[in-house]
Amino acid sequence: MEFLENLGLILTFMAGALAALLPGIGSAKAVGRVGEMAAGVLTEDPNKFGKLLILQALPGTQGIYGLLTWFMVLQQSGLFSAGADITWQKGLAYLMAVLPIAIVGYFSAVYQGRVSEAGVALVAKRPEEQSKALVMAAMVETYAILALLASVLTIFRIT
Amino acid sequence: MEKLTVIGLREERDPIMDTLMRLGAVELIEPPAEQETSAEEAALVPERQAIQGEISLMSRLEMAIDIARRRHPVKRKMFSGRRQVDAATLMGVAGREKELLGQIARIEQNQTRIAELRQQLGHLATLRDLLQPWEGLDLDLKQQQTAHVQVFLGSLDTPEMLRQAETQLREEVPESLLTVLSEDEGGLRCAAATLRSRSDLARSILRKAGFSPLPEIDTPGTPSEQLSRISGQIREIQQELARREQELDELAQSGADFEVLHDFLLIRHDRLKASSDLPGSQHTFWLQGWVPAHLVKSVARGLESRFMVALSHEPAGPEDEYPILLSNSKLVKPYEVIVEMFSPPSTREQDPTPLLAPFFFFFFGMMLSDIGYGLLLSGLCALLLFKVKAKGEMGRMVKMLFLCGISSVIWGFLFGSFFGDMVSVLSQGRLVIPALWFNPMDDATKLMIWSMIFGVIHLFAGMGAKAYLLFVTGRGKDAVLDIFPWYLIIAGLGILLGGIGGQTGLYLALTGASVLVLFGGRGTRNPVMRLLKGLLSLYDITSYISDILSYTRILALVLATSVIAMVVNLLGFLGGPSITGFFFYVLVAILGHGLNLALSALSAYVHTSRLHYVEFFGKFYDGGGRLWRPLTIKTRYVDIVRSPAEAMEKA
Repeated sequence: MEFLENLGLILTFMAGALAALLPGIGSAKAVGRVGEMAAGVLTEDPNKFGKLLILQALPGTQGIYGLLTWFMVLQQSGLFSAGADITWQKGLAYLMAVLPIAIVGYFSAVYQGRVSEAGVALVAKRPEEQSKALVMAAMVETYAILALLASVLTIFRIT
Repeated sequence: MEKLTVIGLREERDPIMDTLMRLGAVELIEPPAEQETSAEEAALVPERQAIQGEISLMSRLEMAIDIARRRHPVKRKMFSGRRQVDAATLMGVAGREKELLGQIARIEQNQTRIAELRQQLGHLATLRDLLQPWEGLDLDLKQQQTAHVQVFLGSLDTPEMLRQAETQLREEVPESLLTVLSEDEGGLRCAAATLRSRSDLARSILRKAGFSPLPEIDTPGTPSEQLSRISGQIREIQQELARREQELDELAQSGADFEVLHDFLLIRHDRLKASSDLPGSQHTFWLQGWVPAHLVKSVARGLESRFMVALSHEPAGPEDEYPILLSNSKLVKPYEVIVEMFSPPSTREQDPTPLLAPFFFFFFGMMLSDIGYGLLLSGLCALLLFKVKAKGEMGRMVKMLFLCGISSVIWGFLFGSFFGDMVSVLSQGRLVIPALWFNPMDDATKLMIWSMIFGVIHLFAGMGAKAYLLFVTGRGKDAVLDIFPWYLIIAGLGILLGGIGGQTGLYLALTGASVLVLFGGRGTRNPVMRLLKGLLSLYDITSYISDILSYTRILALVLATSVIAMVVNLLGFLGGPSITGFFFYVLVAILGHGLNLALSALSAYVHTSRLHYVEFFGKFYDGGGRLWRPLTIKTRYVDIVRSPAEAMEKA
């Protein structure tokens, strides 16, 4: 029965872990691939480093949103202050609440990475058009932001 | 923009072009491509060749500058900008063009020779390593055959291979001999002898057995003689290399002059290229260019006071596709970068910068919204502006971010955020920066609603701009029937959702909607089709809703900045309030807040841009113009400053 008593705690930890885990993986994948491509361009023209670094950083935000959600879960559930008592219903609610950012965060990071990669190719040929590449990549991020809002506003509502 | 036409004497062409470049106020219009007569073409050939020549000289200089920088790296201070060179120095270096080009040629010679020598050195070293094990052998290496006998010298790795080779040879070429001369850890050094007529077969058998023959050597001598000859050669080459390297080092000391010369050639090339296209007669030439209206007078004065020219100018007509130079007050000017990055206005549009600037300032600051980050951002930009003297597009970008940093500070006070919750963490809750408005962490929903309200205001401003443009172009009816109803609908729905004012909201929305239904399809004659079209235009509500929802990203970015800052503070203060704890905190804070500032500022910039490009510009602005690019002095390595005399002359 000890397991059932701690079930709320376990579910909450799972929620936090999931929130940090999936978008983090997605961002790592995307940032990695953009970086590979950017390094290729740099062999030809090292002066583009600054512009390409910004493009590489873009799909990294989903990982940050994941961390943000993790923090929210742990803070709102009172896990940062000791002696939190979480029912299993509440734990399950947290687990559900993080699903949007966990799943959408992962996929949007991967796809944003692909747009950024294409942006790297754009900047390689026409460096003056960098801002357009940035905005196009940011279009994908919109959905991560919407998912983040869904998750965070839900977490705020769980009492 | 004014269209300037200049007719001048051919002999004064170069000084006139020089003056135009110095003034930097004219964009030349490419003359229409006419069929060139063969005589004109013949006259152009030397000029085109000269242009080609300059380009190749410049690329040779670039290479030499590269070498010079590698050999004598100049310590540059961070944020120090480019080297300043005055006109006298420039002309001095230009006068030494021949001498400097001679140096370049010698650098190139040395460079090629050094590469050659390095290659030879590698070759000799390999040969020496190969011959080393054979040093004791008393045999002329060139003399490997007599009238009837062929000798092979070479190595076998293991005794196993030796036995195999011996058996094979005995079976297939019995008239041969294989002996081991010496044995060391590298393998067995062997000699094989056979009849010349059978040498091919013997060689292939030996190869198969793993026999690696000594390379053929052209000079006679025993291995020890060869070795001493090789080391002699290596010594010679090394001496030459050292000499060459030293010479190269000395030559490369003029790197600074090379840079100046490169820029001088670049200027000369630009001038030549611009003037070689100009049409004219035997003794005159003419050129046309775009000059901003406020500069026309000074350009005319600059030319007429010094040269024999005939000059006229006229304002650009409505049909002309003239280039665009945005002109705004000092505070708004930095935001031109944002508009130019999207697309400059076409000749039939208004400059949206004055409308964009306050909103950009507002939204960027709201997204970053931290006193500490805002101060850091503005401080960094100030450093770039005053220490590095960032100019041009970069300069305007930095100025814009500087202003946005100030906006972030203001919003930081409104939300009560200084590096997140740094103050309350460090004082362990005793001190809290009060939020002048409210803390988004306490009431996220409130901030979300306000984000959308600000978004609606932003969209309304964009729609207002569209309505204004319609009025100006005499289509006021369209503005009243297509745009104003949406004001009523959105405002009405907003009031309804906000639950204030009772039924007012509903009536407002219904009024707007009925105007749309009645007049949305006014282009169609058929009354049924017209009503249907009107109803269909109501469907646009989806695009308005998605536009408004898009502004909720402000909440997400506010939360992202402040929560990551809180995480940094939390991690940093794990050590608690002790000496080591504070030391650890400082370390984590510098790293963490630095990273968070970089990423949050990037996010704020990108997403504010997006809100303007997609939501705001989508309402009224297309762009499609071309920026004004005047003929001017461009340099790559140094900045040319005017001498006082020149500056006075210009004034």
